Amino acid sequence: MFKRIVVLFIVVFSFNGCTRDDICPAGAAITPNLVITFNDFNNQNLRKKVVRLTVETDYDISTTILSLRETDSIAIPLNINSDTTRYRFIQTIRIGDDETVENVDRFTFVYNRKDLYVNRACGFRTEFDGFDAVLEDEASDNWIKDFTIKRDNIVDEEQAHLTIFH
Amino acid sequence: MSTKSKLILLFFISLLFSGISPAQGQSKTDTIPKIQKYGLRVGVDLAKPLRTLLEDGYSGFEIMGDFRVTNKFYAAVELGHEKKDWIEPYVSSKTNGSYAKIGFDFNAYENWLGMTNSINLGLRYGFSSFDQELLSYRVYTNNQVFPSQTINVPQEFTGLTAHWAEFILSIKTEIVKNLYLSLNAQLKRKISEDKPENFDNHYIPGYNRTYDSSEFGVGYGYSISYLIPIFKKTSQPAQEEQ
Repeated sequence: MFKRIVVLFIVVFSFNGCTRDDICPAGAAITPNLVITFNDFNNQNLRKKVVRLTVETDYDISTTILSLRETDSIAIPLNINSDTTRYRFIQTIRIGDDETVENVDRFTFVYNRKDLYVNRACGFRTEFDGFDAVLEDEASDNWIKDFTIKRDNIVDEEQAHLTIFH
Repeated sequence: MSTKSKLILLFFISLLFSGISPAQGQSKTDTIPKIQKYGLRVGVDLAKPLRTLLEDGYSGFEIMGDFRVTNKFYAAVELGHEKKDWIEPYVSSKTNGSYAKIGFDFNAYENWLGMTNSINLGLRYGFSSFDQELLSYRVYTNNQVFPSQTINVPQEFTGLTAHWAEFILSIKTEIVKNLYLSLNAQLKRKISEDKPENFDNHYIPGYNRTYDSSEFGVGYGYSISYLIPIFKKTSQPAQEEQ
């Protein structure tokens, strides 16, 4: 009996070093991205691909998130250190054989941030609520014709938060 | 426990303290009655003050006492205070609080004549009252565009409590008359705790660090204690042997 207890102690203490607590697992609930889908302006329930889409942050030093991609849905990060994020959505249109022209539309996303504790390895994650989008109006020059907020709480990436019509 | 394993244990204990403990003779015959000392044993933990000196971000002390109730059973109590900074890659926090552990020890060691060493198996109920301070944190994100910044807005959570059950294994050796050195290992299981809102307890005074994935915890102690003899009981060796 006594020996068993001693063995139990040794086992417990030796396995104590290996815990799951030290690494933030890949599937852990981390800060969600903004999910955007692109639909046809004339037939608003239909997905429509943007042929050459470039998305970059709209700051003095901008970062390109994706470049010349043909896609109908994207997931882009929101700034977790600020209540606004500015993006440039650029559609590159081919005119003629070697010539292209860029149509730049600017979005400002506004939201409230909430930092939620996850666990000791991952620390905190940010969730966003009261999400809204403001498109810089260029009259007829916008390639983005309209948009609609689908979900103003950004807590996961399972469905689109914003749909853009073009 | 078999006689053989008893002898092995005895051998190791005498080996450990051979330099300091007075020689124990077995020259007396078995007919001499055993004298059992009963009293209050009070002590201090040595490991915690040592860690206070050597370890950054830690300070603590613990006092303890036990009282022999029957031949094998001791009522035991430990009281302490701990302050600990707990630094994780994404979260830094600080804990400050007091704790009490109340329970009993069972001496599983059959002493030879005149010896008062013990190998104790004990159970404790542990209680801690503490404050938790979230010093700084970072938001975990895997995007490179907006890397997370460390947010240094301390938040304090006061009046938190935790309860746990503790299994304690200790070896006590009398090094000089009535003075005991003791080494112990503790296995604990949380019963309940107050979690700070939107945060967690990474360290609980008396309980030691917590784990996200389990309710168990571990600890250790190294202490010196003094027995204040109050009365003595004599018992015939024949009654002691089973």
